[in-house]
Amino acid sequence: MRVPTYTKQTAVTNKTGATAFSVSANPSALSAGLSGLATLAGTVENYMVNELKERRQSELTAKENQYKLMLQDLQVEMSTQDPALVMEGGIKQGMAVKSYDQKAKEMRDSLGLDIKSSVVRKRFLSSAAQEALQERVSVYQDARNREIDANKAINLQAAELAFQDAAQGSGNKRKNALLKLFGGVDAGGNTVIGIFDNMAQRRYLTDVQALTYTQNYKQRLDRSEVRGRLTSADKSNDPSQAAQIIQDIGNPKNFTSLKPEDRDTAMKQAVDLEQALRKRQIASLEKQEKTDKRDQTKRHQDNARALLAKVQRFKANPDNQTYANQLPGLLEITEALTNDLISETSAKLLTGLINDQDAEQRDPELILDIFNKIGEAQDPDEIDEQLDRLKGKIGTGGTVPLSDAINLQKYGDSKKTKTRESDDIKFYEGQLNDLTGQTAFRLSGIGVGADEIERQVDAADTYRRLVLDPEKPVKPRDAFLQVAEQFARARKARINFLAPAAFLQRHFQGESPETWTSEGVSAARQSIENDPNMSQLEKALEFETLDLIITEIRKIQEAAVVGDAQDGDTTESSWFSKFSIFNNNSLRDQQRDLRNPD
Amino acid sequence: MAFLFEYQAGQQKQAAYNYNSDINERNAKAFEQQADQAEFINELEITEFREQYGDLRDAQAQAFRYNGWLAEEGTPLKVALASAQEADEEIANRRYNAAVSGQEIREQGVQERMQGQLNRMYGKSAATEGKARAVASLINTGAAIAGA
Repeated sequence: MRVPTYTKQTAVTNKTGATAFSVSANPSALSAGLSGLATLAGTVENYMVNELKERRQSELTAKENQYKLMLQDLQVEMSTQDPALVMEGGIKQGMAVKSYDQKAKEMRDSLGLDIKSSVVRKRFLSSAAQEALQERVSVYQDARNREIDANKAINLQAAELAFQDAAQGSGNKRKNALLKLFGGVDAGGNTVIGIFDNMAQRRYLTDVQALTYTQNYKQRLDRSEVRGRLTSADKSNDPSQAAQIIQDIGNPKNFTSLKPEDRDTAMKQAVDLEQALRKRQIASLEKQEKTDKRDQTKRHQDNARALLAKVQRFKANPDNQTYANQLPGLLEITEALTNDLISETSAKLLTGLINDQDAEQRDPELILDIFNKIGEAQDPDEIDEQLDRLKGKIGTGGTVPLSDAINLQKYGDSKKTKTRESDDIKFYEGQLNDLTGQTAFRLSGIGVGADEIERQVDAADTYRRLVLDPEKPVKPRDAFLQVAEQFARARKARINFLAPAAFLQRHFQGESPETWTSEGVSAARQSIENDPNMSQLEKALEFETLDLIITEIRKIQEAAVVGDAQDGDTTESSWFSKFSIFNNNSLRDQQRDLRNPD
Repeated sequence: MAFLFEYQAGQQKQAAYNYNSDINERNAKAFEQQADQAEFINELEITEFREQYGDLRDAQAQAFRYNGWLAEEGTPLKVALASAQEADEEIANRRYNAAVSGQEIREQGVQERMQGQLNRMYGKSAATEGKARAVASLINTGAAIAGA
């Protein structure tokens, strides 16, 4: 039997039991933390660096801006400074003045001292110097321009002065001025350069500008000369001078620098001037003729009025020897006529008057109308127009007595000169017309009794004669009060003329005409003659009134014979009849009644 | 706000690395267990081998006896000793091989553990990076605001 044996089946492995590790550390992942910290540190560093940069830049910018502002102020200051001082510095009014560069550097250094960081200070000084340099260009340019401009202005001013000498001066002055303006050879044989050419040489002007200036000044001189001659001709009022100017302007050899359009204009002006001067000459002659005529008329009027006044004074006081001596004689009248001192009409009138040929009638309405129209006249021509109405009305066959005519002429004269007296006369005349009802009658046409109209006319005429009395004119207000009072009493007494003056009332027993007597009138006449304060005119007026009263007394006496009162007559006891002015006929109207025919 | 995201990103990275590290640790333990298991099974097989070898030794002794030889002396003994020597060597080889194999598996576990440790280190580093980036972002933002 086979013996089994055992042989080992398992061999020893050649493995060691150790394996190759695949584990490996990732450096980037492992260092990510530090990497992050490194980033953080970098960020912090960047931040600090940037912050420092910003701080420095900020400080630098602030200082640069401050410096720029200071430079701008300095630039403004320099723009008003003397250009030479701006560029070079120097002494002004005893004080040292620094140049732009010096001042800019001072500012720079001053600002630089405030900067603590040396880095920023260096940067600032560098950039500020650059900035100042850039500004320096414009500051110096401005200074140079101003210097050139000032010199240019001085030269142009000198040119203008020379132009004035050339345009307005004469002789040597004009010659020197032209030499200075346009150059040439002086009296010593030296060549003189014109002012504009000189400016061009000094580069104040370009050559083109110098030429333009020269031409302009020559043109201005020619224009000025033409204008001067036109003005001179205008002042002389001599058309021949203007004609000569036309001839000269028409010749191209004269005023050679004048532009064609200026020559045409000057020619037109000269032609117009000649025509204007001729018209002016004609107008002057016509004006002189009118003036002469007006002077003659005034002379005639004044002299005639003076002579008429002498005649009137004599006629009013025939016993006055002085007035008699002043009475013009025929010889005086003839001489006045020969010497053209009075008109022929006035001479005839005066001759007639000294031969007692005054107007035989008096037309109060005409006189009053002329008086009123003069009061309403708006200009001297209208006054003269009214005074002309007196022609033919004075003297023999006329209706305006000499005294009235003279008074009206004097009133017209005072009205022409617009004296206060004439204004007062017109004003109180209007007041009186309102009071007497004349204005209302004129405006409304409401009829009133005939004696009322006569009373109104008498009141107006009396007022006029009082205020125009050449001997002793009554003040318009006093005349108005006096006439108004007399008018009221006349209306109350039913008389168709003004009542006598107040102081004569004592001679009449009451205000009714029926109570008046011839004795009373005589006594009143005596009182008037003895009154030393009354003027001749006032006395004459009162005498006229007394004459009218005498007439009334006679009429009443004649009427009283007719018979007793009849039915329908207004009784004296009717109170209404004494106050109504419309239905209350006056005594004269009553006498004209159908039942009491004249 | 960016700094918050940077910080969170770092935290997320660390969490990921930690997760991976935990996996590595688990793998390491698994490998150690696998090594122990292999050695245990090898011992079971060695025990079984011992039983089989006992059978073989009995059969060998039977054969000698059958052939008439004394099994406890002389050649049969030498043969029996030689087989026993072989069987011991077999067992020794098996144990050696199992130890080598176990060691090999344990080495893998060590590798996993080392990887796990690395991942934890990565995680810490990522967290630090996230914090640093967050602060840097914060500074940048602050600087940007200051410079704005």
